[in-house]
Amino acid sequence: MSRRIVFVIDDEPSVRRSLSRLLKAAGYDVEVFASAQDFLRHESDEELACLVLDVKMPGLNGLELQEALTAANRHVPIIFVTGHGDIPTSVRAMRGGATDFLSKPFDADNLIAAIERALETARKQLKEEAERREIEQRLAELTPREQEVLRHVITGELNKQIAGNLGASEKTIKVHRGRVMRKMQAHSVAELVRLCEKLGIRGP
Amino acid sequence: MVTEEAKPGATPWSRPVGLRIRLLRHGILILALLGSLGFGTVPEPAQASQSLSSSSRPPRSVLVLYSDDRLLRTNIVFDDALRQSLNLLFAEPIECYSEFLDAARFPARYQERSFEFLRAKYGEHPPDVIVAFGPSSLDFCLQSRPRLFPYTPIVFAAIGTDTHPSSELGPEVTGVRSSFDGPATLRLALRLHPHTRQVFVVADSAHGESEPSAWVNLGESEFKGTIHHFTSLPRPELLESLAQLPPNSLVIYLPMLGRGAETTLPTQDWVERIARVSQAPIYATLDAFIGQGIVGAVTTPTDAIARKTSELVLQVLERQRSDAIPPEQTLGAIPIFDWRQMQRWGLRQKQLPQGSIVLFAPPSVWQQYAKWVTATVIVFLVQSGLILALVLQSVRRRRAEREALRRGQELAHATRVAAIGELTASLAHEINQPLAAILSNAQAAQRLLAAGNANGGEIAEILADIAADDQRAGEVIRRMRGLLRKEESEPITLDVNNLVVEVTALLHGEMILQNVSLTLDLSPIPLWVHGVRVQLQQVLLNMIMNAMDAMKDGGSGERKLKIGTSRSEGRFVRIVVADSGVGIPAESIERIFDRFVTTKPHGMGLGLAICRSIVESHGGRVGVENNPDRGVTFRVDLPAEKVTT
Repeated sequence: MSRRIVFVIDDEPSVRRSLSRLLKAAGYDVEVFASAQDFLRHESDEELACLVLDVKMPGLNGLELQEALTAANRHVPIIFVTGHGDIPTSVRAMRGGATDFLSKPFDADNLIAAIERALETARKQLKEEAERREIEQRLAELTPREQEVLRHVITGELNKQIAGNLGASEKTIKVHRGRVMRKMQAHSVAELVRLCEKLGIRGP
Repeated sequence: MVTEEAKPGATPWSRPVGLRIRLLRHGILILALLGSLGFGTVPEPAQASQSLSSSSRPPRSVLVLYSDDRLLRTNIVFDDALRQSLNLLFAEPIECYSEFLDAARFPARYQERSFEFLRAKYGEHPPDVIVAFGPSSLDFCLQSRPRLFPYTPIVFAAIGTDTHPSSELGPEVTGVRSSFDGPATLRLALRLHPHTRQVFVVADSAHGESEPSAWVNLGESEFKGTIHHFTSLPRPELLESLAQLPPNSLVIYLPMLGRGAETTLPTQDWVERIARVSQAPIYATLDAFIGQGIVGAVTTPTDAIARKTSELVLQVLERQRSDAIPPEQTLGAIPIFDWRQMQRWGLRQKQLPQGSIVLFAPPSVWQQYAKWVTATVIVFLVQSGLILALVLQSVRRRRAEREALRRGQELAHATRVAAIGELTASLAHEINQPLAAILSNAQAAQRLLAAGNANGGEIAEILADIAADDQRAGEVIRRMRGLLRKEESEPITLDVNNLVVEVTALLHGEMILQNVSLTLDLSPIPLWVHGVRVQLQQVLLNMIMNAMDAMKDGGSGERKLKIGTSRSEGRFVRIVVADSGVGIPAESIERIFDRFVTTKPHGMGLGLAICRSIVESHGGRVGVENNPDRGVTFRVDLPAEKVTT
């Protein structure tokens, strides 16, 4: 089983220490940070991780860190914890993509359940990311002409129509289509469409 | 007024003071009434007679002829009382002459000369009335009448009821008869001295041939003892006998016996000597001797005789020419006592018969010092009133002060509650942080134990952390409760560094929330002041929250709060709270500590006013100035407390 990392960011040493103990006891790898800035400075690997983040902190607070991470395209699931949660804050946090919002003091089971959900999300995100990268690599192997043909194929056009649109012979198109299907490792047009959707590739 | 007028005339011989005052008051009252009402009928005849007299003849005159010596007490009393009474009764001035025949002590020849003397003296202006005092005088007047003032009416006085029958007196004679009640005097004396076995009747040897027994003739049933008569004893022997009286004796002194010119009155010093040596109480029949050592007498008071006589004189003078002379008057005898002699013989006022007159009783404090007593009482009452008023005022002021203090405290409390209300979020944070840590620690321990991989050291660490966090949470609650408590605690000696740490701890969450960075620049040594902790906490709380508000409004700039403590000017401890907020407009900075002065859109303007009143009540001062770059610095100076440790 790979590392399951929980990052704990809280300005309160005793909270950091107690959470660290609890989560380690629950079998997680725990890394603690005293401030949001410290966490941002931390090199992020592609790893299975989630964030237990205090909303109120001196300097950069939890919500601001969330925004900064989004801006940096770091999609790590966040569980917010707060000493005194108010509705506007929690709404803002959830809109920003938080997986959970817990009020201190929280029960260990709740926290762990939230962490499990977050890690599941992270796992999915990692999987999707990996898939996407895989597909991107396949896509990168296509020639520009093949990519052009691909866009037409996923809109459901027949070879004849594509040939007409691209001003090429039907036979040539047929060869391109075959290469595209092979390079993209798609066994059907439907599968090709699904792969392209994941990368956000649309028809012409 | 009335008492004062009555006083100079109040001789021991006159009536008791109360009676005299009443008499005078009545007289004055009636005169005043008549005068003030302009009572038509009375003043007019008086005026008429006055004008008549002034135009036609000299003032009316009264000649009083006394039987005896001028210095005899009875005569003096009568003379005084008569003149006074005449002056009181007569509207116009009246001339009053007194002559003393002293008949008993000098030969009859001398009386003839007296008559000549009087004619020479008064012949030209015969008196309008002659008052004959005593039997000798009356006899003289009646005998000399044909040659001396034959038309002048005679008013007699001090004549008994049993002598000089009216029928033998002739025309234009009237007078006052009074009684000298020997038997009544003896009876009273025996009643007051119930153990009496012997009675000694003393009469002057000058009239030894008289038979005194009739005067004190009591029946066998009334007195079973013996009655001795000392009537013919020479004076030295009499004194000796009196000095050796047996116990349970009583002396009756009869100074005036017999008839006519043979009668005389003893001199005062003689009576005094008798009284001094006597081993038994002496009773007499004449009030004039009361005061000389006589216990009492049943007789007509001399001043009463004088007043009655003056009334008769008035009637005689004012009657019409054709009117008959007014009839004779008779006055009864009343018991009269000498208070001092009562003390000597152990008599008490309660034993005396109803209506007795007691002379020489020491005046009561009231009688003696009425004015002083009144003045003192008034001064006392006024002072008491003033004191009461002052006490009431002071009570009211103290109550008002207490009320003001209470209101001030309530206001301070209300603002503290409001401040805590504002801090709810951060305080919940402050409490929930340690609670979260405690719970996480506890559950971590549970998990470790359940998994069976707990080591003792780790569990101990966890428990220590739990205890510390619990204390932290308790501390927050304790501080908050301290601020919320309504009653003010007693002033104590405290370190302002501590105070700053406590309050900033309470505001820690709020500062995080508002993104305020706090710098503490505390004195390395404790700075002691004497004060009420909760009040000084409130001062700091208000100032810090004020500063944070100022920075919240201050836009995007960095929010820096700096709190410092130091010694200032030797005897003060200074706390400064500097912010990086918007600052205070120059026009408000002078009044920023006044009530209801605020630069905040929703502020009440009470926070800093309360700060100032608290600091000033601690003997300190507050100040504020805008910083050169941005924000303001508030200053609190509190008197430093010398602590010897």
